[in-house]
Amino acid sequence: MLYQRLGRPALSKTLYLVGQANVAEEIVQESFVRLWQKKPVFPTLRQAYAWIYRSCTNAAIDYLRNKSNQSVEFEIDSLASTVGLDLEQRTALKQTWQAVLRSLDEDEAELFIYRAVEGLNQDEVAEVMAISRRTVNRMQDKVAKKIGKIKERGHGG
Amino acid sequence: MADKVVSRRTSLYGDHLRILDLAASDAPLTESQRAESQRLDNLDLPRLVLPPRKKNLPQWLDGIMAPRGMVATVAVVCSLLILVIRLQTPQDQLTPKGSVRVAVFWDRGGKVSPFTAESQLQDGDRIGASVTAAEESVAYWVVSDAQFNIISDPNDIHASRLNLAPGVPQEFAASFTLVAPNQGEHLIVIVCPKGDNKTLESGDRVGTVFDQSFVSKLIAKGQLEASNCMYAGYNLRGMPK
Repeated sequence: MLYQRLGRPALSKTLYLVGQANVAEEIVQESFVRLWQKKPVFPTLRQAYAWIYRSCTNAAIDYLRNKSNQSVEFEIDSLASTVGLDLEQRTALKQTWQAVLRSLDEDEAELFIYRAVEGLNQDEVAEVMAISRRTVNRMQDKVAKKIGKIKERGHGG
Repeated sequence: MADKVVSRRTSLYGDHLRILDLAASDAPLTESQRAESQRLDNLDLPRLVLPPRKKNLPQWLDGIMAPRGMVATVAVVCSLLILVIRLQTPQDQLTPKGSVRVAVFWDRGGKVSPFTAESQLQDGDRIGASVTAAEESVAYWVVSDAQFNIISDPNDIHASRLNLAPGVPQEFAASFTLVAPNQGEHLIVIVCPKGDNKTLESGDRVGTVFDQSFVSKLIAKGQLEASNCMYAGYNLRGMPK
């Protein structure tokens, strides 16, 4: 069964993002239920995992967006140390995380998570988001500009 | 240290693809991949709890089919107007024959109502139907747009086949949900006296327009006579003006 094969990686990935086991389990459950209800056809298991991966990411983003600043920062701190980001990246994330999520639209926030937090390369982002690499590039530039403005505002204020 | 640098260059997604054996690579797992693999082994995966199959008509008809609701339901069903589809060309005439009763229901937010000429359906409403035939028959359902172009997925049409015993009401196994844009959808139920038990193969194409040819192809492998079929059509919602 798909859940037996892909459930643990999906849970692990979500747990990294949200930091709480019960929340991660709920997100993964909902993603698989959605999959079961929509019954999309995947030519390969890899495509099925990309779908689940994306579904969990978006649900995790929704969850994180609704959290208070304080708890999110705590989770990002533990997330960063787990995934292996260096100190500079971790600090940057802590300073901008909440503002970034609120300033980006859904796709941009998703791309930000993949690139800045989970370290997906552009090809992997294109695969998971089912878009072209060119679009990934374009979105990435847009996200970088928005983050730059957020940082400027942060330093200025 | 070099290994750690390499590990950081792989993403969690990439690590999972390698661990799941979904990435084409003969290279051994990196340190981060081995660590993640171990983490996955130790993760407690809760049992997947699936909701009741809401798309199944029999389940959402439970309430309406309950003993108390049955009397009212039957009364409403008996008063349902069965509309005869006006096909596109004169040679496409199919004559309703035999005694067939079709009941169409719609579900909005868990409230199930019989479909009547006054029903105001909208996006998100789920539609289901049950059929009663006087003789042993097979039934299919099809959804078309206002011009009778078939909207239903061909596989869903094949899968809708219902074997009817004389006088026994049977519900189609699945419902469908109205979605935007409004296409002036018609629900078309085709009921044919049963011939041979052969069924249509799912790969067979039946056409894209509801007409004589469509019905003939749909039932051909069942060796049913198109001229004996009865069909009932329901204009679920009008096109916006």
